[in-house]
Amino acid sequence: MELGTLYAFLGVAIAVLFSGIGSALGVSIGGRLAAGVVTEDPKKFGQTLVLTALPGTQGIYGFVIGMLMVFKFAGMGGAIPVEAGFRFLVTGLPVGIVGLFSAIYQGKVAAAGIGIVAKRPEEAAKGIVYAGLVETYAILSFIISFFLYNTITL
Amino acid sequence: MAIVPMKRLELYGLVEHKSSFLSELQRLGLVELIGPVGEEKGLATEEEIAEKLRQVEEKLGEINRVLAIFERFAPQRPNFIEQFAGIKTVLTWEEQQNYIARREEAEKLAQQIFAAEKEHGLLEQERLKVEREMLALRPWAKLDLPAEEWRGSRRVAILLGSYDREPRILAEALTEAEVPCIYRVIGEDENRTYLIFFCWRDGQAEEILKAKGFVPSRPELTAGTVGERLVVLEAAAQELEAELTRVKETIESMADERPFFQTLYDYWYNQKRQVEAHRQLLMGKAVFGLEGWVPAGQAARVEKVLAALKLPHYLRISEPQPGEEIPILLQNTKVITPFEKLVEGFSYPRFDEVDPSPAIAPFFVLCYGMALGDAGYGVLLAAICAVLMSKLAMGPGGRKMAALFILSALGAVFFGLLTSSIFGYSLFNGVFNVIENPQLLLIVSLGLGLVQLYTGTIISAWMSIRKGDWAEAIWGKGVWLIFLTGLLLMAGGAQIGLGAYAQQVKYGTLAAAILLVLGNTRGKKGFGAKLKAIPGGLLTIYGSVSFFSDVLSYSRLMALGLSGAVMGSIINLFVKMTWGAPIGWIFAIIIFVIGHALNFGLNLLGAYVHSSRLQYLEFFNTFFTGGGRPFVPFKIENKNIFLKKEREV
Repeated sequence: MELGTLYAFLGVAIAVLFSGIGSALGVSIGGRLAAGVVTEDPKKFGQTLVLTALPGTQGIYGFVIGMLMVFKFAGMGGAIPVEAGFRFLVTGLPVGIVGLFSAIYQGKVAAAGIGIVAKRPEEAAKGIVYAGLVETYAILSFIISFFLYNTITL
Repeated sequence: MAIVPMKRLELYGLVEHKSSFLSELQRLGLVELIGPVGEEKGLATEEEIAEKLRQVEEKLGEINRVLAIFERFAPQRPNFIEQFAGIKTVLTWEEQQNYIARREEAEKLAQQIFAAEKEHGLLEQERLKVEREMLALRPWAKLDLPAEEWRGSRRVAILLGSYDREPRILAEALTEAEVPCIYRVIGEDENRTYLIFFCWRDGQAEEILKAKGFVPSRPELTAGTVGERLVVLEAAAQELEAELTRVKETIESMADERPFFQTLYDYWYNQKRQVEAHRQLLMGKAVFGLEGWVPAGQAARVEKVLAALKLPHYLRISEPQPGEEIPILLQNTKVITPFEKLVEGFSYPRFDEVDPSPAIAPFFVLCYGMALGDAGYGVLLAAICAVLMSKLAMGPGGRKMAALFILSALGAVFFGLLTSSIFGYSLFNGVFNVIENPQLLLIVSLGLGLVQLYTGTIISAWMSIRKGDWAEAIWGKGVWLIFLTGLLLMAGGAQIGLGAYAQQVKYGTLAAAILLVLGNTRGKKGFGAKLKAIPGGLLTIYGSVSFFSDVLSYSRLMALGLSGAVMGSIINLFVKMTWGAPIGWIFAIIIFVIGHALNFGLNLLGAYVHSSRLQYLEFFNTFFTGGGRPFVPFKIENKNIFLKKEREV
C-alpha cells in the first residue's frame, strides 16, 4: 500500500473507530441504569430511552466524516498523494478523539438524568438538556473536522 | 400582557359554611391559597383535620390496593406512546358523576375483591404444597412396595435412599463386608439414583453404605404405594388449577370496574386536598378567613360564583402590597402558548421581568428548523404530533408539547424547502444546498445567532426603560450594541463593500468603547470613585469576547443540519445501490424506511436539545434570569381519569 493511501485509510479509521467506541460506551452507561429503572417501573421506558440514546450521536458524527472521506477518494483510481493522505489522517482526529471522550462523559451525565426520570419524571426534560451540554464539544470537533475535510483536494 | 397581573383575595364566612366555600373554590380552580402565619390555629381544629384526613387516606389506601390487584391480574398494557404520556381512562362528565354517585358500593366491592385475592393466595399456597410433595415423590414413582412393608422382615432389612455414583459400588462394598444383599434402582433425577436395598439384618449394612456416601431417605408416606399417592395428588393439583383459573377469572371480570375505582380514587384524592386546605384557614369561634391570590381578570368571576352560593360572607379583593412574592401565571396568544413550556422548563420569570415566550417563539422555530433541516422529516413530525393530539387523551401540558413540536416541524419544512431537501433528496433547485455549500450554512447559523442575541440585548434595554432607567438602556445597552456592530464591521466590513469606510468604522468603534468605559463611571460620586470604575468599564469591553463566543455557539445548528443531511444522502445512496439488483427493491425499501427512521429519531432529539440549549444559555444570558414562583391554584386534579370535556363552570 502506498503511504498516502495508508494515511487516508487511517484517517477514516480514526474518525469512525474512536467516536464509535465512545458512543458504544456512552450508550451502555445510560442503558444499564435505564434497565434498572425499567425493572422498577416499566412505564418509564420511553423517557429513559431518549436519555440513553443521546451519546449515540458522536458515533454518527464520526461515521459521517468517515463516509465523506471515503466518498472523496473512492472514485479515484491509483494511490493517494502523501500530502492528501496526511490531511485525511488529521481530519479524522478531532471528531474521533473528542467524540470518544465526550460520548463517555455524556453517557455519565445521561445516567444521572435517568436518575431524574426515576425520582421526578416530570423534570426529565432538564436531564436531557444537561446531557446535551456535553455534546457541544463533539459538535465543535465535528465542525472543525468537516472544514478540514473541505480543504482536501484530490 | 404575558405575565398575568394578580390580586390579593380575602374571604371571611361562617365556620359551618367553610366546606361549601372550599369545594366551590376547588371546583373553580382560580385561587391560590396562602396559609396563615402559624399560631392562630386552634388545636381542636388540627385534631379534627387529622381525623378527617385519616379517614380519607384509609379510603385511598383501600382503593389503591384494589387498583394494585387489578394491575396484577389484568394489567393495562401501555402502548409505546402511552409510556411517554401515561395511561388515563377517558370518561365523560356524566360517567364520572354516575361513578361518584355509586361511591357507597365501593366498600362492598372492595371487600369482595380482597376476599377473592385472599382465596387466590391460599389456593396458590395449597398448589405449591401439592407440587412440592409431587416433586419429592416422583423419583420413587416405580416403588410398588406399599409403605406398610418398608419395615422389612425379621431377617431382611429394607434400606431406601439415594446415591450420586454408580450403585454397583455400593453393592461391591457390601459384598466385601460379606453382607448378603440385593438392590434395585427405583428412579433417577439429574444427579442422583434412587435405590432400594434388601440386606441381611445382622450385618452393619446401613453404616457401610453411609460411609460410602449413600443417603438414606424415604418418601413421606404412611400407607399405600407411591403410585397411588401420586394419582391422588395429580387429581388434587388439577382441581386446584381449575379453582385458581376460576378465581382469577372472577377477579379479571371484576377489573371491569377499574374506571369506577379510578374515578373514586381521584374523587377522594381531591377530597383530601380539600381537607388539607382547611389548614390554610384562619379559624375563629364562628368565623373563618382565608387569603389567596387570584388572576386580576378572574376576580369578578370568583366574586360572582361565591355570591351565587347565597351564604353570608365578606370578600375583599385588593392590589398586591409592595414586597410580596407574587405567583406567576403566563398567558399568551394561541400560537405562543406552546413556547411557555420551554420557559417553564427553565424557570418562571420574576414578576418584574417580561415573559420571554413570545421572544423565544420565532427563534426556537428557526433553530429547530435549521437543525432538523429536512422538509420530509418536518412533515412527518408534524403529522405524528397531530395524530397524537387527536387520538390521545392529553392534559394541557402534553398538548402544549405536541403543539410545540408541530410549530417547530413547520420550521423544518420551511428550511427543508429552502435548501431543497425532502428525505435527503434534492428534487428542485433550492436557494442553496447544505452539503455543497456548508460555509453558507455556517454563516446563516451565526447570523441567526447574532440577530437573536441583538434582540435579547434590545429586550434588556426595553426592560430598563420600563423600569425608568433610561441611562442604563442608552449607556449600557445602546452603546454596547454600537460597539459590537463596530467590531463586526471592522472584521467583516470589507466583504460587504464597506472597505472604503474602514477608517471611520475604526474610530467609531473606538469612540463607542470609550463611551462604554465612561458610561460605567456614571452614578459614582467624586473623581476618585469615577477613576476606580474605569477597570470595571474595561471589563465590559472584554465582555464582547463572551458575546461572540455565544454567537459561535450557534454553529451547532450548522453541524446538526449538515450531519443530518449527509446521513440522509448516505442512506439514499445505499437505497440507490441496492435498487438495481434483482429483488433489490425490497432491501432498498427496508434500508430507506429503517435508515430514515433512525436518522429522523436522532435528529429530532438533537434538534430539540440544542435548540432549547441555545435559548437557555445563550439567549437568556442577555436579558432573563427567572426565579419566579409558579401560580398553583387550589383545584381539582385527576390522576387516573381524563374528562372528555371539562364541565363549564
